[in-house]
Amino acid sequence: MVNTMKSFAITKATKLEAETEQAQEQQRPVPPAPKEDAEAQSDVDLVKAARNGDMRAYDQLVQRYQERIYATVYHMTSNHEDANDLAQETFIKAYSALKSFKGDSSFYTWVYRIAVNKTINFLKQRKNKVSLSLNDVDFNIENDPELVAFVSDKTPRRDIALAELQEKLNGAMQKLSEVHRMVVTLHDVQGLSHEEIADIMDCNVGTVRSRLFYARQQLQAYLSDYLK
Amino acid sequence: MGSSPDNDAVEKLLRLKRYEQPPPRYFSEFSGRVISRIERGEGRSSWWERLGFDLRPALAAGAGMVACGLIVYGVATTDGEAVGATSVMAFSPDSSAESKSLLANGEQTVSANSTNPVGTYGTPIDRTVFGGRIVPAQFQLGSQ
Repeated sequence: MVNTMKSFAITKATKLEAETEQAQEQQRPVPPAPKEDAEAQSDVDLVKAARNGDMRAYDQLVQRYQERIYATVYHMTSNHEDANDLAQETFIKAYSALKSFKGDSSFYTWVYRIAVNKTINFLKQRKNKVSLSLNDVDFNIENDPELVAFVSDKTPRRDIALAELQEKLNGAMQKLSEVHRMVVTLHDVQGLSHEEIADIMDCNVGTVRSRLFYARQQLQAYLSDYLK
Repeated sequence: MGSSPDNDAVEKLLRLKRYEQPPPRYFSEFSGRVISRIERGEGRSSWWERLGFDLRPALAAGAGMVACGLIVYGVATTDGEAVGATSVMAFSPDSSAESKSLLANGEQTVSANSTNPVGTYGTPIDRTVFGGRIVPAQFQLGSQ
């Protein structure tokens, strides 16, 4: 009975979330997503050239996606050194497997999949040995007045609050399971759509939505002191 | 849920993570490091990947165990045949001095009563341990 009510609540909440999603995605400042036509075509050409041993072509592909791949791995591990290793290994693995890339999906989705699988495997091996090695918060945060106001609202001493908030936030993220953390990272931090995440994580859109809902609930509970 | 105040706050808080950036010039050197690692040979695919197999660790371990099992089975089977052939030689009525000398030289012997047309030297282990010679004790007693 309790489970039925809970699943009903999740379904209802998921529907509400879906309705508000479109409006929110228009407002949300997201990292640059891959352009569908020109860039995707260019990706195909670069992949072909890289397959034939053109390292400059592969260098361009790496430069094109390095920030997004690094960011995904970093937000999953909360550790710069681990993220650096895993991001590099992702591109090395992608290069060695380039001949098996059939082009069923875009190169971007394919590389993301490699990064996601590598990161989840790494985290399973690491288990509970979490050591945070956080990057500094960029000064461009000043250009996000809504976030600045939010942080200032919580505490007047913003410099201290930012570092503390950053640590608490990363600590709370590390308490989530790997798949829930991945969905939050890809959607709320990276700004990917539900469909893209479903494609990358090889699951359906409903699963992505329910994981996102559950993960946010967990984060609310962990960060309740900062959300009053 | 999507529009609840708590949910909005979580989303706002998560936006903070977008501003966590690696050290300056990190990305300007990143691709160079990847390419140099590939050129050093780290990107080279293994022979099974070049053949089109992308073996997972569990599958690779399974394949290794099957290979080991086959080797053990092969050794055990060969050993059994060798023992059988040796037994036939040991109790063979035509165990003459000639065949004894041939055995002593490590040459191939076919008994008249044996159904094995090839004869045997024993297993590779026998050849290694006994220096290629099979001199069963029963054979010595039977020739008196």
